[in-house]
Amino acid sequence: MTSFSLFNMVFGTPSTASCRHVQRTVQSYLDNELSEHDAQRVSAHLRTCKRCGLDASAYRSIKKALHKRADVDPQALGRLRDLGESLGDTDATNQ
Amino acid sequence: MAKVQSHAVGTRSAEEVFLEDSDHYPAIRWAGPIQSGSVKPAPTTTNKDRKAAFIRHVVPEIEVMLRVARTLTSRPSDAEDLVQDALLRAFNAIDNFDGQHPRAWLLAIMRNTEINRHRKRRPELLDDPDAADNVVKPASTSFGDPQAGTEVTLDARIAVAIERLKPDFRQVVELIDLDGLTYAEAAELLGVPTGTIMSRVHRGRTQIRKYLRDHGIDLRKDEP
Repeated sequence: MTSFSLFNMVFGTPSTASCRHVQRTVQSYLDNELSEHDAQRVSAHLRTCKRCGLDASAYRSIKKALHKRADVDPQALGRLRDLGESLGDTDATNQ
Repeated sequence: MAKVQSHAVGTRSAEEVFLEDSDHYPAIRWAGPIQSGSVKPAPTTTNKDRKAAFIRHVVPEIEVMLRVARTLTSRPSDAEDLVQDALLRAFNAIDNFDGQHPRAWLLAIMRNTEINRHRKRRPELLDDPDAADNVVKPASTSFGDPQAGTEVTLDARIAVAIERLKPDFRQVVELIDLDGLTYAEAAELLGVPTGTIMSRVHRGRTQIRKYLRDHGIDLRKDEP
């Protein structure tokens, strides 16, 4: 890696973020909470910086594994939806 | 207390029903939708309109409400009770909803409902060691079949790692990654700035990653 590209990676350019900036914002990037412009800059950095790219990959795996635990009791959900439907049932007699 | 438009619901006005139930469903302090700053005065509506609005805005959000309730409470049965109470309050207050940002409105109702439920059962909470430890759900300590591959081990380790997080970090990580809330929705629900949510997400996931690394699981891998 040339000293110029290393400099850009550490300090950033108008089109790509710096390592420091990415380390602060990678979670927001993975959660789609950045503006389109900032997201593009972070994405560009992750494509070129192996270290930051691997870090993002690790956090992405954590998010994926956490999301798999998002189980909801189907019976409880069914009961609550039945309640919601009955409250909104326009054919039901008014209480 | 938000104003309630009076109109007939059977033989009693909605206001009478709301005030009668106020001990169970205290006043909803709805500060308005996140993006705009004011709640529009509710027009006079029929009971049919109210029910239609409830079906349109509230029922689609029930699953998210249950997920969030699981994060806010210590037992699955408490989560279901919380959502049930919140649905009834939402039905009573649907006239005051301006049709914008239903999820944020419902989460605010759930938050107020849970706060009031905590106030009422606080003496029991102090005696309940599980509640004092803020156990969200039983940790999946089974590590499964050791020959099943690293996928089972990772999931089991993740389950332990998240249980070991500080309650503030765990709650935010669950709201974002399990319940699918945005930072703004989580901030509104917990009554904290969005920056606090960002910080807790970052610190929570960093701690999870450190725990995994300390137990021999390095997630850094090249993307395909």
